[in-house]
Amino acid sequence: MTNLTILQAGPFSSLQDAGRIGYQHLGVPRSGALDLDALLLGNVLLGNAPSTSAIEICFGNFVAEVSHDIAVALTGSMTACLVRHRRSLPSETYQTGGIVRLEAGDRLEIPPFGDSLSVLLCLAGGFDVPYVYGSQSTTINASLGGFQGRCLQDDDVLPLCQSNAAALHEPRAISPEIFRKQTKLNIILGPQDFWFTADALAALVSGSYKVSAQTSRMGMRLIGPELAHKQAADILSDAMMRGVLQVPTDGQPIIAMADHGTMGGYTKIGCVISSQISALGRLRPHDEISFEIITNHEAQALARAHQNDLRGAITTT
Amino acid sequence: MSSHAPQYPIWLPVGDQGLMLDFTGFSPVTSHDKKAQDTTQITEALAAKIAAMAEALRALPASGMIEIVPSLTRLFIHFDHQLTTAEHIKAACYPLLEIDSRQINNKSRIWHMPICYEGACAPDLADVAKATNMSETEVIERHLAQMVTVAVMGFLPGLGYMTGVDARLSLPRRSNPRTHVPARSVGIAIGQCVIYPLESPGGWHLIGRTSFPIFDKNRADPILFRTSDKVQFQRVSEAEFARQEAAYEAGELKAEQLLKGSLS
Repeated sequence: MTNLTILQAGPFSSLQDAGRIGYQHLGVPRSGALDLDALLLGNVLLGNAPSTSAIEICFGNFVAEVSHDIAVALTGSMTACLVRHRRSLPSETYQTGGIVRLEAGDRLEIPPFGDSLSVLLCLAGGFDVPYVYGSQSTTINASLGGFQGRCLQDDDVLPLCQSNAAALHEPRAISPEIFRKQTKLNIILGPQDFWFTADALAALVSGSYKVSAQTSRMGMRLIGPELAHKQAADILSDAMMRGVLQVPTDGQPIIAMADHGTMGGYTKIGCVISSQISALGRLRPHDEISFEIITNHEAQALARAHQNDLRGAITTT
Repeated sequence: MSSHAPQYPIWLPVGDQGLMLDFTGFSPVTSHDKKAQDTTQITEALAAKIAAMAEALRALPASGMIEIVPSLTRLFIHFDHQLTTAEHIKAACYPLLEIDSRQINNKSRIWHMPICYEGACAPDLADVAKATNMSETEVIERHLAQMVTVAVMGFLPGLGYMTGVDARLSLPRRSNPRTHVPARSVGIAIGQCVIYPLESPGGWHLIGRTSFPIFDKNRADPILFRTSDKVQFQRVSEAEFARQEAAYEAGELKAEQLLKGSLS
C-alpha cells in the first residue's frame, strides 16, 4: 500500500480534479480545481491523465511524507516552492513547474507563498479515493467526493495509485510564467446586462474592485463601485456557470467560483471569459482587479491564443 | 413581468461558452389545453416544456454540450467551443421548440413534510410578517394552505424550487444574503419556496425548518425530490420537531412515511 501522510494540512487543502461534469441539472455542483490550467499542466508533465486529482493547497503551510519513491510536481504559482526534507541529508528547494523525484520517507513542505491563492501538488499516478458522480473533487459544502468529503486534516493518510513511471524519462518543465497573476479580466456582458443602469455598466469598467476576505471556493465577493439595478436584483433562478458576475441588491458583484451552486437568482451582469477562468482562480483576498468588456469574437481569439500558450508552456529542459 | 415582455424565446450570451434560451413572457398554452389560464399553470407548463427540451438535447450523441440545465423560464447550455459552436447549438434547439411537454411522464408524488415555524427554526418569520402586513400566524396559515410543486431542481444537490406559494407571501430575496443557512431551513422568496438540503449560503427568508432531510448522502437514494413532485407542509411543535430529528438520526424514520401522511 503506497500513500501520502499529511503532517500539516495548512489552512485549506483539498483533493480536486477537473470536476463532476454533466450533473448540474440534478443540483450537483461541478467543483474541481480553482486553477484548472495548473491541474492540466502538472498532470501532463507527470504523464498522468489530464484531469487526474491533485491536492489544491490554499496559502501554503503544508507538510506531507511519502511512503515510497514517487515523482511530484507543484504548479499554479510563480513564487511558491517545494522543500524536500531528507533524512540525514540537507534539504533541497525546488521552484514550481519541474518534476521533483522523492524517495520513500522524504517529507515535502510547501511554505506560504504570496502571488496565487492556491497551488496544486500533482503526484504521478494520482490518488486512490472513490469517484462520486465521475470525479474525485471535494465539494466541501455538500461533503461530497475527495478524501471523506472534506478538507484535508493533519494525520490523514491518502492512498495513492501506481504511477506510470515510463512517461517521466523526458526532461521537461513548465515555464512558471504561465501562472502569472492577472488583475485585468475580460468579460462578456449578459445574460441580464439590460437589468442595470447605464451608470452601472460604466462603473463596472471604470473603477477597480477589491477581492473581499469573505471569498470562498463558492464565490468571490468583490468590493467596489456599486452596480445599480434599474428596478430589481431578483430574477427567477436560472443556471450558473463559473465566472459569472452575479449582483445582489447591494450592488456588489459576486463571481461564481468552482463550488458555485448550480442555480442562482441574482441578475448576472456579465461573465469572465473562458480563457481567464484559471487566472480568476489565482486571485487572493485583498487583490485589486478591474474589468474590460470584450466581444464574443475577441474572446474566441483569446481562447485560441490561450490554448497555444498552454501547449507551449511545457518545454524540454 | 411587464406586458412588453417578448412573445418568443430569445438567445442570451453567458460568457463565450454558454447560451441561455430565455422564454420569459412566452406562453406555452396551446389550443388543446386552454384550461391552463392562471399564472401558476402557465409557469408549470412552461417549466415542463423547457425540461422536455433539455431531455431531448441530452439524448443527442457527441453534441459538444457540457451541461444542459433547465430552469422555470430559461434553458442554459454550457458547451465546449473546441468541439462545437454557438450556431450548432442553436440549430440543434430550433426543431425542439415545438416539443410536447407531456413527453415527460413523471410520476408525481406527494410528500407530507413536517415543518417547525418556531424559535431558531424561523429567524425571518417576524420580518416576513412585517413586510407582508400580516400576523405571524397568518403567514404560517397561508404557507400551509397551498400544496407546492417541485418545478426545477438545482443550486445544491436535491434542492427543488417549489412553485404555487400563496401570492401574498411573495417577497424579493434578502438584500444581503446569509453566508450560513442551516440545513433543512425552509425559505420563501419571489413567490417560491425551497428547503435547503445542506448548510450553505443563501438569500431567502427563513420561516421554518423540516425535521426530515431532503438530502442525505448516507441514504440509498440521497435526493428525495424529483421534478414535478408535490409537497404539502405539516406544522409540528418544537418538541415534536426535536423528537422527529432524533428519530431520523436513530434510523427510525423512512422517506416512505412522508408519502403516507404525518410522521407524528
